[in-house]
Amino acid sequence: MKILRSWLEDFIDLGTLREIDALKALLARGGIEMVSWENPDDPVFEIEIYANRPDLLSHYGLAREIGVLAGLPLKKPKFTEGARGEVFPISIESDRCDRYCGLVMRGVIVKPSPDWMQERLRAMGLNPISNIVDATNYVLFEFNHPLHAFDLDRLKERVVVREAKHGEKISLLDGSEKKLTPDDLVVADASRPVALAGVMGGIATAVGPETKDLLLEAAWFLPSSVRRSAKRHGSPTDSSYRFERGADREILPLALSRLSALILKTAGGKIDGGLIDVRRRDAERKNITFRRTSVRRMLGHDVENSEEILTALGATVSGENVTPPSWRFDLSREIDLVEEVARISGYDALGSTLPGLPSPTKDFNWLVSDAARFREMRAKIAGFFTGQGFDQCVTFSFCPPDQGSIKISNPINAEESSLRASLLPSLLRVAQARRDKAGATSICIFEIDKVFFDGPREGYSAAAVLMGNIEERRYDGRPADPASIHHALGLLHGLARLLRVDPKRCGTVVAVEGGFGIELDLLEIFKVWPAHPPQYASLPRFPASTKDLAFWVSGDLAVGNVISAAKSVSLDILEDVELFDLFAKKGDPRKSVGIRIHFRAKDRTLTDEEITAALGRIVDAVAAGCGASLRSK
Amino acid sequence: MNRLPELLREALEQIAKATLPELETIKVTYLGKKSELKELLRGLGKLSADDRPRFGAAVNEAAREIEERINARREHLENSGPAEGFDSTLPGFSRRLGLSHPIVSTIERVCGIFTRLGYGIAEGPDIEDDAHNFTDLNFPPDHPARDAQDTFFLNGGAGGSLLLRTHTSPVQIRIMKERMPPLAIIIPGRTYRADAADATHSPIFHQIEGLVVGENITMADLKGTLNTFARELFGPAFALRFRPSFFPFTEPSAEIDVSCVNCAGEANSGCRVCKGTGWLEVLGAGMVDPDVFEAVCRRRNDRVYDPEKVTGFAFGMGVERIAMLRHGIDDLRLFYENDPRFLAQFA
Repeated sequence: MKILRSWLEDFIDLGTLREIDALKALLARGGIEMVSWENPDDPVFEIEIYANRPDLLSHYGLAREIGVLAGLPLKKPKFTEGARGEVFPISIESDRCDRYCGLVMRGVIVKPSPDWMQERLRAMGLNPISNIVDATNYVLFEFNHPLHAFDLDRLKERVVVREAKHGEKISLLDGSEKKLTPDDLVVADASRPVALAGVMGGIATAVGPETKDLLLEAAWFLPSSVRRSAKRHGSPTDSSYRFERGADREILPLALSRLSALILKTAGGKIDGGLIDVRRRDAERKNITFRRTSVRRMLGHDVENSEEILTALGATVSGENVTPPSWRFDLSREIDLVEEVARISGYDALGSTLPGLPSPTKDFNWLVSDAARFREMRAKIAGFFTGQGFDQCVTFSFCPPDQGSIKISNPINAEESSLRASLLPSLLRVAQARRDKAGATSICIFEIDKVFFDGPREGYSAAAVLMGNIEERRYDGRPADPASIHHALGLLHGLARLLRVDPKRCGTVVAVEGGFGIELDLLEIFKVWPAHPPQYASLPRFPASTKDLAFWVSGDLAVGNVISAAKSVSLDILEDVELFDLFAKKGDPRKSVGIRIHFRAKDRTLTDEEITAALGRIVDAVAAGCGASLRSK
Repeated sequence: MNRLPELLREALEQIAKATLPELETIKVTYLGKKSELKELLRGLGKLSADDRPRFGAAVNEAAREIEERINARREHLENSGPAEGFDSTLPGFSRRLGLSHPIVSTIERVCGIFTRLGYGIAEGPDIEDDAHNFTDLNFPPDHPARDAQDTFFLNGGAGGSLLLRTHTSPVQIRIMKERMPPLAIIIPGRTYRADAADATHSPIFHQIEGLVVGENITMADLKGTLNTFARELFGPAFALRFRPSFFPFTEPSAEIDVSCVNCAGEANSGCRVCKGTGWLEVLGAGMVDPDVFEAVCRRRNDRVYDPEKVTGFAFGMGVERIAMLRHGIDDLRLFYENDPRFLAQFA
């Protein structure tokens, strides 16, 4: 919204607020942002207003607000409303129009507006058209009410506000032709629609160079109806913008009075008859009960002059009853009045305290009941990955349509039109970018985030991608360690150990282009993550005895079979069996599997005889179960 | 034979100040084939049968001691500091460093400030319905305030009203449905707006919201809470400015600016970051609108959150924005590219 300072000064003496920085600060205090200004000689500044303050969309409206904020008097406009009359038939046949005022003028001369009017309109970003049209726009920016002028001679018999009929059409001022439906509210004459109510006038009844007689319109149309019509038929206009947000029903006669005065001045002519005022329904003027205690309750302190503030804003205050002014549609509840009191008295007056909270609030997660533990688990997993040297990534939740079953109906583009069910594809893209664009040779990345399934159902996933070398060649000659599936498995097993869950329930390993990935379903793991604090198991009091055995086995034997064969021997002194050596010679169909066996008894130091006997049983079991032959002890 | 003690002493002196390479030479000198000790051993034959065993033992003893000392010295040198044969300019062997992500660490930092004040952390779904995302938060249908939030809609859902949440505020409704007041929660989460990605916009970003509801919560508590938060996050040198604003779900509403991190609030300094205003907008906030409490009462089918009984405040901030201000990052897209040269600067 553009504001011309000199136009503003028609209604208020700014005094020290003529200085732009001072005015900007005052407006900010009141919640109005001055975004920019130009032309220091007669400044035009751009202000940003929130959707709930349509009354500020005009010079008079803003002057009124500045008056309240700065405690300055307003130069109220001097026009009178004029007598009422019935010189032209106007009727309302829809409940979407509450009031329609018309004024007839005759014998005008249509020509360009005077320079001062053209300048002001240009400052608002409009192109001057003719004195009549310009006058309607002028009053719009002055008093915030959209007005319209019809060529009276082109109106057939009368004007009626009604819903459009199916199939009716209208050619609008912008040259477009619109097909109408009963959802559109129109101003019509006896034969056809002549304006899309609140949005734009029709071209057939527009004021042109030959026009002599006018019907001036000031009306009130239902905001939602205007909004829908404007949206349906194109983009908002200056008129629809204001009607959408709420126009002041009470200002109609004043606006027409101002308009006719401007036209008399710039186009001559005479007013014929009085103001035609068709009222279907008066606005409900809400009476709000305003308790002084509410101010203290919400703000934390009393505001002594609450009543004065509300009166200055245009409200009528009588005891605890407050009637807001007709131009404020955002004031309908006590809380709205409290906000006005706070805003005008200044947020600087607010104290600065901390709420007394009796006890900490428990965490909340809509999917799991122990939210704090679920957070803890995710943090543990993230810590595990960063500890392993993996970089944490954050990527978009979108995916191509074939990778996710939840579809977005208005996506940014076709490749990002579903919600992902796996974190791996986007992680893979990050990995590939690091490898291909940045030439990275060692890529270890992970992400923990939500995933989406049919239902719709949300889940949590942790995923990692390994590509290139896990460790690069060291300068002392230690060779590089290229990423392999064993590394991926190692991550899963590491996580399983960290969380004390069964590795098989942890997640999956996949081969990806150029490397490997793993993914874990966090909700599934959370179900089996031990909830109770670990219980102490006493440390062994007696020493262990460690023996190594190596076997030749067939090259295609799964090594796990050797371990499980060894473990299958029922020995209460067998503490653990682990793989410590794996070796295959080129061309040899066999491979060597070395296992390290840990023996320990809880109550004694083991004897050599016991160990030897146990080893013997293990060798037999492995030989039998795996077709293995012992290499050496 | 009388030479033996002196020989031993010489050897030990040499060893004590030898460097690693010198130790090899010493070994050869004193223990090698052509060494004096070996000579002495060969000369044993000339001795009497009585003396032979005694001197033989002494020579062997000496040889053993020299060897032990050499080994000890070598071990010492291999394990000790710079002055003794270690090249300190060589890079150390280190493992790869896993980098954390500034979005995650910013969320952790902000949540940490509030959990210390007794807030709980609340999380809700990314997929929401119209009621939770708009209607219950006092966005009436057909109202221009909804246009400011371009929404991603999803196919399906009851009556086709599913969408991707445009803010984290729906979680306020969810938690008030489940819990009794008083409560204080902080809500981190991913949010979605149908904006094309550029330096300051992204279709996907993160917010952190706060909500405190109780019997005597006032706007002064809101101001005090945010002042405390700003002091902890930005530091005591930064000031906050509260300005009236409008959100459908708060009344009174405010926008909060922090003094510019770049030019320290010197207005009109031509600072690119704050465009010369001296202030940067960081938070939106306000007192919970009574209509929101009424919506909660309808959901709960009770009057526990009757706006005559309780009041509350809420505030919200953009995570990427906060991170961009704290670290001087100028392009939002960098957070989602995950370039290690970017991550490493903030890890």
